[in-house]
Amino acid sequence: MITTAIPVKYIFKRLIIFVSVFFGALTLNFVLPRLMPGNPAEVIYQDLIKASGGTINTAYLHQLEAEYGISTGKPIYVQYLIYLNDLFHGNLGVSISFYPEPVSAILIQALPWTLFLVISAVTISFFIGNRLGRYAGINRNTGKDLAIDLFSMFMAAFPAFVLAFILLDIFSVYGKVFPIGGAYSSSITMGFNLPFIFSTAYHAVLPVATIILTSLGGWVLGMRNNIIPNVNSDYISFSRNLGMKDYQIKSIAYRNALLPNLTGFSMSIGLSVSGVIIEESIFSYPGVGMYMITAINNLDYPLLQGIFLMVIIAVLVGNLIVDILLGFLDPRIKQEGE
Amino acid sequence: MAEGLVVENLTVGYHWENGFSKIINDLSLSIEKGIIFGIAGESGSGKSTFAQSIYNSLSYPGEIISGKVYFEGKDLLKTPKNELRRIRAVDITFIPQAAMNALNPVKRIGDQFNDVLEAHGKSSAEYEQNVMEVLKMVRLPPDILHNYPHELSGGMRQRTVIAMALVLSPKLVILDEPTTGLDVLVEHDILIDLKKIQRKRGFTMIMITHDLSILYEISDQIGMMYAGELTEYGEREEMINSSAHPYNYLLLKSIPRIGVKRYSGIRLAGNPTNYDENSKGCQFISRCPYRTYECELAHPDMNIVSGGNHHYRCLRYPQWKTDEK
Repeated sequence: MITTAIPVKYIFKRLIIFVSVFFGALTLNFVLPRLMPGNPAEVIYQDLIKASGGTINTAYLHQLEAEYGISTGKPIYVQYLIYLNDLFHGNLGVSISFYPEPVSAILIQALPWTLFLVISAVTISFFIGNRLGRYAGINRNTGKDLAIDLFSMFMAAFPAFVLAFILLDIFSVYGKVFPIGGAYSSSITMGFNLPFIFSTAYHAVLPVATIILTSLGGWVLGMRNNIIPNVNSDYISFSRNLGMKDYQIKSIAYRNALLPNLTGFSMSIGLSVSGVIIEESIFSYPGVGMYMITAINNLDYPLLQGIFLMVIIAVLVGNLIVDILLGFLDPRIKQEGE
Repeated sequence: MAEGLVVENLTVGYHWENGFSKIINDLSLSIEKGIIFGIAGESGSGKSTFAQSIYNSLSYPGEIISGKVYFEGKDLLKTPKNELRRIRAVDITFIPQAAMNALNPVKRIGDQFNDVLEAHGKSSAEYEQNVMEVLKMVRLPPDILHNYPHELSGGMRQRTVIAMALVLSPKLVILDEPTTGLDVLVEHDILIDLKKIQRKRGFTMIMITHDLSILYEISDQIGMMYAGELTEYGEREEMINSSAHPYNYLLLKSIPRIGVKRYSGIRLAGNPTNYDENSKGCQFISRCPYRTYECELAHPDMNIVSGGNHHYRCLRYPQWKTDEK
C-alpha cells in the first residue's frame, strides 16, 4: 500500500469533528447566559431606577431589550434561531459597559493585540522550551539537566501575576527601561510604518517576557520527558549501531518526541487567548483579556459571550490546524484516521 | 586459517545499587573468518551482554572490565568512539534483539536507508544499486522503500532491518536473537535466507540465540554459554555427536523429537544460574548430574579434545560419559 501525499479522508474527518464541536459550543454559549437570572437590559434598567430614585417607564426596558437583541419573551427555539442568524451576520449584540459600542467592534479592535501577544510569546516559548528540554533530556542526570529542571519547575510554579509585577517594578517603575503600559506609544500614529512596529515591539517586551517565562517550564519538562524514552528506544540504539552521526540521532529522537508537544502547542495558542488576562490587565495591554475583566465587573453579558465565542473559535481552529499538521508529520495518526 | 574475530579474556559486569556483579568472566574465543558462529545459552548466561561487548555498544550500567576484541588487528574496545562510528555498518554490523521496533516510526524506509548512507558519506544515487540488491537478497519488493514501518508486517520489518544492516557489505555481522517475537515459520525462512546471504557474501556471522534447533540448523560452529563462561565450543558435528560437556549433552537430550520415545534418562534439572564469583569450583556444578567432589575444588580450564578445534570446560571429560551407562 502506497500512501497518497494528501490525506483527504483524514482532513475531511477532522473538519466534520471541527464543525460538530463548534456547533455544540455555540449552543452552550447560547444556553449558559439564559440559565442566569435576569438579563442585561434589566440590569441597566434597575441601575437607572436606583440612580434616579424614581420610576422609569417600562417602555424603556422594552427599548433596551430590543437594542441588545434580548428576546426572552419568545420561545427558546426562536431565540436560538435568532441567535444563530445574528451570529452569522457578525452581530454579537451591543456592549453594556461600552454602550453603545457593538461587541463585534470591540473584539475586532482587541483581538489583534491579544493574538499578537499570544502567538509571539507562545511560539518563542515553545521553541526555547523544546530546545532546552531536548538538551536536558539528552544530557539527563547531569548537572546541566538538574539546573534546567530546577529552573523550569520553579518558573512553572511561579505565579504569573507576581512575575508581572516584579518585572513591571524593576524595568518600568524603577528602571524606566520599558514602558509602564499600553500597546504602542500614543505619540505615534497607527499604521504599517517602522516607528509603529518598533514601538509595538518595545511595548510588548515585558508582557511577552512574562508569558514566556511562566509557560516555559511546561515545554521544557514535557520535552525532556518525551525525549528520554526516545533516546533509549530500539530505533535509536539501532541507529547508533549503524554508525549514524550524532546530529542524525538527535534529530530522529527530537522529531519523535516533538509530536505530543505539538498538540499542546495548538491547545495553548487557543487557550492563551483567554489565558493572558492577568498579563494584559497588569500591563494595561488593550487586548481581549483587559476587556474581559471590564465585562465581568460590569455584568456585560453580550461582551462576555462574544469573548467566549472567540476563545472557542481560537481553541478549535488551533486544534484543527495541528491535527492536520500531525497527519503529515506522523504517518501512524493519518492511518488511524482513515 | 584467518580469524574473523578474536576475543581475549573478556570480563564484563553490571553496576547495581549495592555494587557490581560480573556477568561474563574471562571469556576467550577465536572465530574463523567467513563462518557462522552460533552462541546459545539460557537467560542470564550473558549472551546478549557478550554480543554488545564485542560490538563495544554496551552502555551504563554495563561495563567492560578487561579484555580485548580484535577485528582485523584492531582492538575494538580501544578504538576511539568516532572511528568506531565510522566502521559500524561498513565493516562490522549489529542486528539487534527485538529488531521489529528498530525502525524509526515516522520516516519512510527509503529515507532511513538514505540516512545510513549519509552517515557514512555515501551518496544515495550511487548506492541505489546496493540497496536494490540487498532488498532482493532478503526477498523484499523495492516498493517498501516508500512505506512507513507500521505498514509492514513483523517479518518484513525484520527483513528490512537485516537489509539496512547489510547495505554497506560489512565483513562481520553480529546478530543478537534477531528473530525474537516472530512465529516459527517466518523465523525459519529469515534465518535460511540469512545463511544464503552469508554464503554468497562470505562475511563472518556471529549469531546469538536461545533456540537450539535454529542454532544447530544454520551454524558452522557452535558455542555454549553458561553463567558467563563458554562451557564448550567446536564444529557443529562434534557438538551434536560428541559433546564434551554435560551441559550441551543434556540440552540436546532435552529437544523433543517427533516419533521418538521421550528420553527417560538423566535430565537437565534446576534453574539457570548467574556467574558466581564466590565459587571456587565449576560454575555448572549445581545442575550437573555427573558432579563429584573434585568439581567443587577447582575451576576447570578450557581444554581441547585432542586433534581438533573442540574446546570444553569440564574436569571430568571423558569420564562422565561412562557414568551415564
